[in-house]
Amino acid sequence: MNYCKWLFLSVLCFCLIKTHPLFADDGDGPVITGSFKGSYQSFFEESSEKPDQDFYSEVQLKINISNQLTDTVQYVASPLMQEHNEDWVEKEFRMVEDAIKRPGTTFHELYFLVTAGDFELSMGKKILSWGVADGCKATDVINPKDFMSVADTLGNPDQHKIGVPVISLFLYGSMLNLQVVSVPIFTPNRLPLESSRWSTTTSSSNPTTDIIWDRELPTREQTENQGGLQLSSSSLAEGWDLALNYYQGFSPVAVLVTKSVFPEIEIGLVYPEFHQVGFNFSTVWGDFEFHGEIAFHETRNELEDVDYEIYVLGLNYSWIYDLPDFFEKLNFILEFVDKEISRERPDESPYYDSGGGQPANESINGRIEVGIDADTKIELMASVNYGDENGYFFRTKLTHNLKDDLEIQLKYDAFDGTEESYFGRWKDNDQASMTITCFF
Amino acid sequence: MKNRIIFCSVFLIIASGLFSSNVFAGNSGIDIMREREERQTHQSEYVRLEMSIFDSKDREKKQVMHLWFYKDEKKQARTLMKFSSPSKVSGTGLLTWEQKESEEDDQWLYLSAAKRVKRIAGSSKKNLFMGTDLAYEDLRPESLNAHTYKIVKEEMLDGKDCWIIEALPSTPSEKKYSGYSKRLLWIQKDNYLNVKTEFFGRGGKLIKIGSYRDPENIKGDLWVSNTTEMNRLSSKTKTIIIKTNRQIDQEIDQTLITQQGLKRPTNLK
Repeated sequence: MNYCKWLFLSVLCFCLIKTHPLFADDGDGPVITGSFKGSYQSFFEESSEKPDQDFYSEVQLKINISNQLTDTVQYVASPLMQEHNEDWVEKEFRMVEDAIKRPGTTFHELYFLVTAGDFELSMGKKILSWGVADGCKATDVINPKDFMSVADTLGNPDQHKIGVPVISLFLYGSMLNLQVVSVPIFTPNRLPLESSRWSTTTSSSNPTTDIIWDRELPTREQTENQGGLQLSSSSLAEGWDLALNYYQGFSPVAVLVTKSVFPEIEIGLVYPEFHQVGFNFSTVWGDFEFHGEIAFHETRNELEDVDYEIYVLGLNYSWIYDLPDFFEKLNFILEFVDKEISRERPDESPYYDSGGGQPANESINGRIEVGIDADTKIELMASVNYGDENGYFFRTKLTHNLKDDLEIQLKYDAFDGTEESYFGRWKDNDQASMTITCFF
Repeated sequence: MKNRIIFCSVFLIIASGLFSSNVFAGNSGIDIMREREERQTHQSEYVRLEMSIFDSKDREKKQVMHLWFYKDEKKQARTLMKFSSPSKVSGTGLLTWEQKESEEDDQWLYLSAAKRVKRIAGSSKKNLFMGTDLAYEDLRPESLNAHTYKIVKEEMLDGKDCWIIEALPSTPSEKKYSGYSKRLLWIQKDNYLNVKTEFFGRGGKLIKIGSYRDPENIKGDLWVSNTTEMNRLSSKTKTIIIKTNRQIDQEIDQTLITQQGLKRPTNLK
């Protein structure tokens, strides 16, 4: 561990000791909550490429600690420990999550927050949120995501974000707010392992061919200017949330380049440098909430990646009156996502897509949430890729509170479509899962 | 001449008493509600709320919430509510910015698990807030310009003399988005405290009864209730809210009652 990590841990330990009820001046102490989660996923069909993997199981312990150090300074620390039955987790502590596997122990978030007057400064490992969409958040590019279990990520784009070292300055204005973000260290998306049923890189025609993967992560010198800014307002136009943002950095989605084919296949993973301008809005009209996002993504090295725009348009509607007695409420969510490639790679480019990254592009996504009672909710979700490669995803999920702090979730996921489509490639991965979460 | 001066003085004294707010307010429902609003007007407030939610089988769930309120330079209310307990919903919050009477209030919901802020629509205000028996609209300040008020009766309630005020939505927006076709408010005559409310649904049927107990005189004419009990008749559920740690007109960090502030950890228990 480098000195920064030792410094952070030292300060954290000092804060925890200082603010412990035994030692704190006013005996208030930190606020500590957390969850312990166990999950079991069973696949209906045997995988031709991974016949020994017919189930996955994982456990996760997450603790959230927050406390006020002074009137203007507080800290948040969220240690996280996890394990997976198929070796998706490396057995060590890691602060910057740039490894291929999940860290066995890490801090999900660890940061200080300073609030004074009209500004708010946060420093540390943090998860930020730009954008307003429910499914595909085109302008939310600061934090990478964990795509190791593709099904888990679908429908929950925010809950699988990876914290990154960040310095964020937020300035409150009467009409406009400004947020400036610096992300000095690069963290890529975490993709399915080659050994996983969710892998997008194993060749089905050569399942036994060994491939050497060579990741080329951007250096610290290259990422020192990584960051962006966002102007936002809820007062400029009454009833509208508006935001305009700009981000430059390195894409968490790798592109591939074949380095050699003999004597072994060696493939390099490169993370293209890009900049992006985004705009999003949210408003209500009648019984509906409407939102939209648009992002213009431009790659700096034309050989490495394409330029594109992503458009998202969605709505939410809640229906709670005049329902049949056995329903408490219904929420409808509908979202339309389109991606337009404005510049393709030139023919001579050696780079090609990895298959990972933003799911549900060129798609229509819908969700119905049915509240049966205060403790039980059913969710139906569907996603349709309407592009050249048709693919479909369907989910049924039941969530029930067994007790106040004990929740059970039962889920069924189904994939279909052509082999080339984002969802169709996992036709054999229809699964049922059960997750039990204990909150404390 | 001397008699005229005495007569005029007595007349002025009596007239000032007749036109004092206490007497004048009793003339109409809106006057009573305006007087109530004037007495209850304060610039800012913080309060801790302990909520007990009882289901139809009388099983209890407890939640703890914190509420911050202040009036901006346009005298429009801004309110932030954040949960600190149970841990499953800790950090979840609701932000409300009151708008002009012809417009819907702005409301945003923060889901701490997803770390995202979501604007919610007008129909959502009829929704029950976080599993309680209170709708989002029950948590808004009373909007005098969006209702008509009429005294329908005077009645003794728990030994206190009260006016019963009928409140009806009067604007197209309120008629469309409110979950109530009518409310009856019991307003105590001596301190203008609302001690009971009956809520009637769209079909005119009584759907909820709210009782407000444990009065406290905070300062001057300002009285507040420290216990609220809301009974939902159709589901046979109820919510009891006990307010503690109340601070009136203390300095509040206004940046907290914003979308960015909604995401901020509050470190309260």
